[in-house]
Amino acid sequence: MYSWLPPRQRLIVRAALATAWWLVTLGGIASIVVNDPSNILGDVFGAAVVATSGVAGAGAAWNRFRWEWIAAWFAAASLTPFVLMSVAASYRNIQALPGTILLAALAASFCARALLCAAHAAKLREQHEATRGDAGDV
Amino acid sequence: MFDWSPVWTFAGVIVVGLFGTGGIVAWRRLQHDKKIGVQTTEIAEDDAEAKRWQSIIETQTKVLLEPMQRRLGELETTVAELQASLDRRNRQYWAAISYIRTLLMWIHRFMPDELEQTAPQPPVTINEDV
Repeated sequence: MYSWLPPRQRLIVRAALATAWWLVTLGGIASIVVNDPSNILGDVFGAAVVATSGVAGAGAAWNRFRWEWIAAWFAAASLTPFVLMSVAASYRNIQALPGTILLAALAASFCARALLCAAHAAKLREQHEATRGDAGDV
Repeated sequence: MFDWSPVWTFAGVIVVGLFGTGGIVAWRRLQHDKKIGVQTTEIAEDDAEAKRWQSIIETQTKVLLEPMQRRLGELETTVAELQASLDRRNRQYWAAISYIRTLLMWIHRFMPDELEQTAPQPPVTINEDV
């Protein structure tokens, strides 16, 4: 996925991405910890954020773009309730608006990562088809 | 922590469903890719593989390309030498032909009449030039 980068920069980029994902994991853990125990949905979505972002981070760290590809979509899905909750909070208190927009931007960046991984998968698929085509010609 | 109204619940279900569908579609594509044997990484990204290819290319360069370049250089030198030799020989040949013509004319002019008039025939290969 990062073949266009020199090996050292490839490592740095992957480390930065894994760190970003695992910070989201920490956020998910924090949401479970501070959540009202009676709110089961809060725990469920918090756990979903932890699981999906953890897997995506591992995908970035170990260069397994397919893990990140799937996990990024589900991470965006599990972050959505938090975004909507923040939107609702912004209606009551305008002070929450910047946080809401930043949270929405985070969800959008998850989608962007998922789409980038999908594009990479499409590229590998095309290469595979091309190689198979060459083999057929021989 | 969560404060759900029906509107937010509806919006939440739609967006979560949208992203979830994205995930499911991606999962299905992944299964398809695995089935048809699409690689998970590019060759250029696999350092070990890249090094292996680099070593193969270096070996091929050393074994095939370098001797071929050396041989090509030798042949170029030989061709240049042969060309120079041919040019020199051509110049000598035409000088010789010109000298033979002059000699034949000189012989015709100064040969006494009582001697045999026919000069020896030149070899067939240079007959026309003479």
